[in-house]
Amino acid sequence: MEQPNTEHIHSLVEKCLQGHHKAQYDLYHAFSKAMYNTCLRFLSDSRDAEEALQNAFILIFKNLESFRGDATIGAWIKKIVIHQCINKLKEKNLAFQDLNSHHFDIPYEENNFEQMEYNHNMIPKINEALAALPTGYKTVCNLYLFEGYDHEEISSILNISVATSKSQYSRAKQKIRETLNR
Amino acid sequence: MKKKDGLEEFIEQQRELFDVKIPNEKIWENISKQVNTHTLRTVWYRSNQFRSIAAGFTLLVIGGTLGFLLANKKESPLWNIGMASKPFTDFEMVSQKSINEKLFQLRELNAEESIFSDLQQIDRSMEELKNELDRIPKGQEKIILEQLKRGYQTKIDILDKIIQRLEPKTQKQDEKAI
Repeated sequence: MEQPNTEHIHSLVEKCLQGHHKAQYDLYHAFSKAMYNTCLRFLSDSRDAEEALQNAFILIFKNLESFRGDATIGAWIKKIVIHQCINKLKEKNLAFQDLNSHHFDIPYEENNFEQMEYNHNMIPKINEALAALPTGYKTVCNLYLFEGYDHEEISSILNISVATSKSQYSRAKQKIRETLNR
Repeated sequence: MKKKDGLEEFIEQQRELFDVKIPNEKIWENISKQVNTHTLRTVWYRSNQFRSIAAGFTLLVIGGTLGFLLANKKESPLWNIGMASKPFTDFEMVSQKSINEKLFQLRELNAEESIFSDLQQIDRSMEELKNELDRIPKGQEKIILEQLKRGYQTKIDILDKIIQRLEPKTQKQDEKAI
């Protein structure tokens, strides 16, 4: 995610707290594109992604006073957006049935160096491969690969074991590579 | 620390290129509608709080202008009999009764008309505070009720001081007349 100017964002937050409408609009626009794409990656449906983004930003603006600044505003916003996505998946009972029903017999690959060369032209194909993953794989993969959470954090967010998180991530990457090799 | 594989490295380096979709502008419209109802309510409440404080301040200024309240300040009789802790309706009833008696006394003492118009200004401030009670979010009435109690207390204090000042004057005039 592109990091907007910290001072500018800080001043926007201050103005939002004073009820400035334009500052709210600017703060939303500083993060909405990245956050919308995050929602799309988790939910794979534009209507669900729009709803999650909308609900997340309503929560963000209504609770801005509780932002204590111990993380960056971007990290705080991302956390709320991801939480909305996970909730939406849970609502639809989509998220974790495949996480819980799998046999975790595929070992976690600590160092999986493949020979594949990646380039910009492969981005749409990676996105497609990711969207086609079962929800459980996709959720773990998004959290680790795109949002920068480690397996400990993922296990806590999704209420699964660290081993499950690692094994799901490993399977997800394997499937992405298979799709890219086709 | 685990060494990143090719896919992980590529996504980390090109992360922004994956965010290509633009959210529909109607999402902001919906957010704005919902957030600003909430914000307006907060700002409105804050402005009312300000008005309450301003109204309370008006009461004090009037008291000061009359030059009675701040000199030789002592607790109001209502405070002395423990009325401050009573429910507001009881407090208001007792205060209003006391005010009416004192106003009657003032008329008897031939107080200047300007005193009554100053007292009416206090009434207007208190009326404004009472109107806010109907509009304020539930559970937030305490601040206004406290200000109203202070308003009654101030008005009684002012009336007492005016009466104290006028009584010796009237006594002297009476003595002269005799």
